[in-house]
Amino acid sequence: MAHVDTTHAPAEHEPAAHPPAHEEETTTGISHRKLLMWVFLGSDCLFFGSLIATYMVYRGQSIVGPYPADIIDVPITTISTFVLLMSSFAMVMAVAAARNGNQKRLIQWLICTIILGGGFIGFQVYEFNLFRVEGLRYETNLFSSTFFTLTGFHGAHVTLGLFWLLCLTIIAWRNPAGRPSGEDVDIAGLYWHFVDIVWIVIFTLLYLIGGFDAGPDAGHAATQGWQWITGIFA
Amino acid sequence: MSTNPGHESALPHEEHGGHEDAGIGRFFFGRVPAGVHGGLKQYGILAIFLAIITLIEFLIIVPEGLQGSSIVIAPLVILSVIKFFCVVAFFMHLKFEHELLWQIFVAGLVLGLVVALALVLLFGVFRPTPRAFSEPRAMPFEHHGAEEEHHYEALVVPTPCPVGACPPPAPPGGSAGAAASPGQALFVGAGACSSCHTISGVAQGVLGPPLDGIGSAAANRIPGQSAEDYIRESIVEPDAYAAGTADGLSQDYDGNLMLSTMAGILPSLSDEDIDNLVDYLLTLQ
Amino acid sequence: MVTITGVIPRPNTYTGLWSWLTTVDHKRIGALYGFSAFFFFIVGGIEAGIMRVQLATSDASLVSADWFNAMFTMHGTTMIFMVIMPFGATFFNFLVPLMIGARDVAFPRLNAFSYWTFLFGALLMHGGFLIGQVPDAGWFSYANLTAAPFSEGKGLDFWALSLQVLGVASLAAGFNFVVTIINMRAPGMSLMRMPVFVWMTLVTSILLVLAFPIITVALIELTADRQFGANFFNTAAGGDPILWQHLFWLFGHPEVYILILPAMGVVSEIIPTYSRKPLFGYPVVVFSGIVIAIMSWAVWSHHMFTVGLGPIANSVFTITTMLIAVPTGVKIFNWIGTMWQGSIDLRTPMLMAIGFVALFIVGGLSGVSHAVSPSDFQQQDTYYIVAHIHYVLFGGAIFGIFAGIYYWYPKITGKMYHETLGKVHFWLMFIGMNLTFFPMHYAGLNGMPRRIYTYAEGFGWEGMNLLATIGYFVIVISLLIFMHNFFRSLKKGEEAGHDPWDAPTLEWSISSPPPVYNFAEVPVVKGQDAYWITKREAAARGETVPAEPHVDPSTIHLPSPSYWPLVTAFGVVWIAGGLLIDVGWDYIRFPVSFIGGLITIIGVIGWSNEPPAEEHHEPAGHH
Repeated sequence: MAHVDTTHAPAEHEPAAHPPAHEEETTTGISHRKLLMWVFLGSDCLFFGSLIATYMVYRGQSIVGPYPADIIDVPITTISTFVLLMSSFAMVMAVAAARNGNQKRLIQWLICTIILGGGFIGFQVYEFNLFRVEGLRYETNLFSSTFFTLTGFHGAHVTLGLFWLLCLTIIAWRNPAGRPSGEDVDIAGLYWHFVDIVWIVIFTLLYLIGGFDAGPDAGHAATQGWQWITGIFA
Repeated sequence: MSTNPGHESALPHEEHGGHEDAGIGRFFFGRVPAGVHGGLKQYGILAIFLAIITLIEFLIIVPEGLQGSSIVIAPLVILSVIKFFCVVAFFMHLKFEHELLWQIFVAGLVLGLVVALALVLLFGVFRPTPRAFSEPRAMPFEHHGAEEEHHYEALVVPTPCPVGACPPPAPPGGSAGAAASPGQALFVGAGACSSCHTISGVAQGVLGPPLDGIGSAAANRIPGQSAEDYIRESIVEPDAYAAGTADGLSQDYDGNLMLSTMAGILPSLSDEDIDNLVDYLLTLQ
Repeated sequence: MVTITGVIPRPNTYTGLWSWLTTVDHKRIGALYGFSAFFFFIVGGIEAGIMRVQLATSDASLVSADWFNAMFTMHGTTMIFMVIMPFGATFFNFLVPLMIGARDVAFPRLNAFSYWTFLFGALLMHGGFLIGQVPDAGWFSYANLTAAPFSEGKGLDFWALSLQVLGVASLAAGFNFVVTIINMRAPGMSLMRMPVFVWMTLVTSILLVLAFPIITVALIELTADRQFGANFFNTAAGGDPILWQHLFWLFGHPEVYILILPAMGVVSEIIPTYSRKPLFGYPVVVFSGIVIAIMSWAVWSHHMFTVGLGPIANSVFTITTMLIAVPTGVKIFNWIGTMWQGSIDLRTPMLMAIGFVALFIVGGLSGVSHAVSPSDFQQQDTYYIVAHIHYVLFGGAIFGIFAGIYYWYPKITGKMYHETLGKVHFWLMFIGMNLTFFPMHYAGLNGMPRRIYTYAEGFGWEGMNLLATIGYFVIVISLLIFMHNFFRSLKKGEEAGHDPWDAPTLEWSISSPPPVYNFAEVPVVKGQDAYWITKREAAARGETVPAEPHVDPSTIHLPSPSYWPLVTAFGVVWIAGGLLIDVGWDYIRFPVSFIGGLITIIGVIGWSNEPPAEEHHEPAGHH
């Protein structure tokens, strides 16, 4: 799956011990790894775009319950959204610390990010388990299949990010030759923030807007709206 | 200290990565040279701003009247777009990067958005709801773990809707309204027979053989067996005799599918249900 | 973690089997791609042969209907994902760094990872043959033919999971080449001075990284349906099989251009060389390539005219599809314009390139005929479509690939191929190709459906099908001649010299085969057709341009070989293979898959902790 590639990003890097002038001479002035990360994020937009599109196409099409309104708890998820947002803040502070060469602050902020990100995953595990207990299994209906796939793959991205940050923390702890460099942390940060913005979209569409869909006909308001618009031109 | 050799910008080195290099106003709104980074102050303000937006989003859907209503869609989408671009521009410092990176990311983002919108449009506007088409035609779906199926009756029996949520699928072509007999109700309802078998005006399944006139035909299938016994045997022991071998009918039907489907349905039928079904099928002359 | 890298010493051999398994040299990886692709070309060709023999006469019984299904599924999947795409990757790998004046790609180990993942994924898909579980739902595997009740056994799981692995390989390669081309150009090589082949590689790579996530999602949904009981394409739960078609073709149509654009790039290099003229309208060729890439996102539903999308959608996609013929046609005028008044040298690569243009026009025209949705209702799922796809993919992509193989053979091997045998190959393949696929237009319009395993007498299809089968064997003979030529010339071919064609691009400025470090001195590019400029400036001064002298390789800083890409690729394919295990206890899949995940993680950690190059020398100081 697409995300395997991200983890390679830290790999292709000359050790920071090299004098920067020899490190990379690139045509655009952007380092290879940073460019790779942005191309990957552009590509990942399509990945989540397709998953979200699947959810939206199937919104309100389940023919058996439980429906979102029966089961989704918006207040709890608002808290976990807040937690993930704050982890982004911690991450950006870690990047700033790494750029200033402040190894101690870097470790503190990285651990802070990991705790907040882990908290988000904890919320998700709790939520998934609650849904399972209440009768929403992966195979129950269209809503469950699309919901678990979308949020599950987002959770997998977060977990991968946690693993990555953990590696960076350990490296920073052992501190061999000034690693991780500012850019090492920066690129992990880009990935981490991307996971955060994907959640911003998911939270809005699946919880704030779609979380109150009740019964099989929910979500058709949008369809009817579109039909009304096309009706003008018909 | 600088580990970002790529940016040979106009920015003097000592400002590079410093905490207070760009004031708050300039950081968020001004034109700042490439490679500038904020500090606790700038990022803290942004984090508080994002938290407030999240709070507003939550408050919007607190009143029950607004939950799920189409009025809130626009403000919620706008707020989340603001959040989205704040994170991209400042946390991911795309505002301070080479414009190529903007182009790459926006290309992916816009394409993803267009693809998603196009799909929603194709399913929502140019075609009536797929469910209106699929529901009356829904077939039982055999999952790989057939032995687990009794845990999930909802899967084997596609039709039941939660109370009042949707009307029972009206068989097209007359005989609308209440079913004529308990056997017929079972046939089109919980028994799910109609998913595979056709009876004119009642059901239109295609996976199994049509059952029009089965009441009279059954008497002649096996010499010495009454119509009632034959139908009962066909339900309880579907593989005892494959009907229509002579006239080439049965080769159209998948024997394994039949066996597993019928075996999945049988445990949910009581003896009385089977009696009702047999009575009903006998009436089809 | 650091200790992991310490346990196994870094490979340091540059000869023998291990050097190939651990290589990160883009030229060696290109060669590996090439040989693997040709191997699968033979496999896919044998599958095609079985189908052609079966269909040569009415009521034939060489294979059963089930095996015929497996044959056309594997033929399509193999030719598209394991032949044409890796042939494209062969050229990308070998040529792009040479053409832009770089020493390697941006991420050499990621490049090796791409190759091994591709190879393992392709082998995994063919592993289904060993246990008789072959995918059999067509190369686009429409839902709900792929649902568990309608497609029993593991065949479709092999298909979905192997394709997922191949997708990882393609994505990794796509990322790599986007970064390489944007970021590793020699001084002076602005975007609009890049050879057209590099441009088409960039466009193809961008399409790859944008299109493959969609098929990734579609395959995730299919796998979830089949393995975990999800409902994405389950009509009984309200799911819609049409969604699969949309997702598949949203990927599938950009994929069509992923297949053809590299061949267009190859042809755009060859025609100027043998016409002794710069490419006519270079910016137009480049921009029409970009426009094709953008528009390829707006045409996917022309594969679905007959599913009932309604008149609005059908009209929109009819118009967009007819519009995309415009930039494609523009390119054809550019190639013809390049040849116009050129001094044309009809060597084998040029013949192949002209064959490409001619056959691609035929395929393009039949394509426009089913871009019109009412006309497509007549042609949908008939042999007319089979004829069309083979004119663009065989007449187009494969002719372009062979043109490239002949053109760069002297550069890659240092030897000259046998010209006469090459021309015989071209003419036999050209005749055989037309003999095979042209009658299919008639059979199709005469009502012969695709994917039927046999047909009764009396429909009037026998003659056309017999012709097609004869054509198939003509193609086989032409390919045998090619193979003979290839291996004979490796041993007995005359030395080619560094620039046998007086070609315009930078790869010809270095010796043949290129040294491991490519350029002893990074070239400075003064304009389009950089090497022509160099040569003409030298000629104006009355000098000749020598191939670069060999320098002591130890003075040049190159990435070192590595085990980790191989280990990581092995882990990735193990994850997919684990999910295919079917031995009674259903849940054994997950622990086995998990082991694959652990291998992948170990591979990635080892990879991250290993510097790209061993510290031995300071980089060679240049300039």
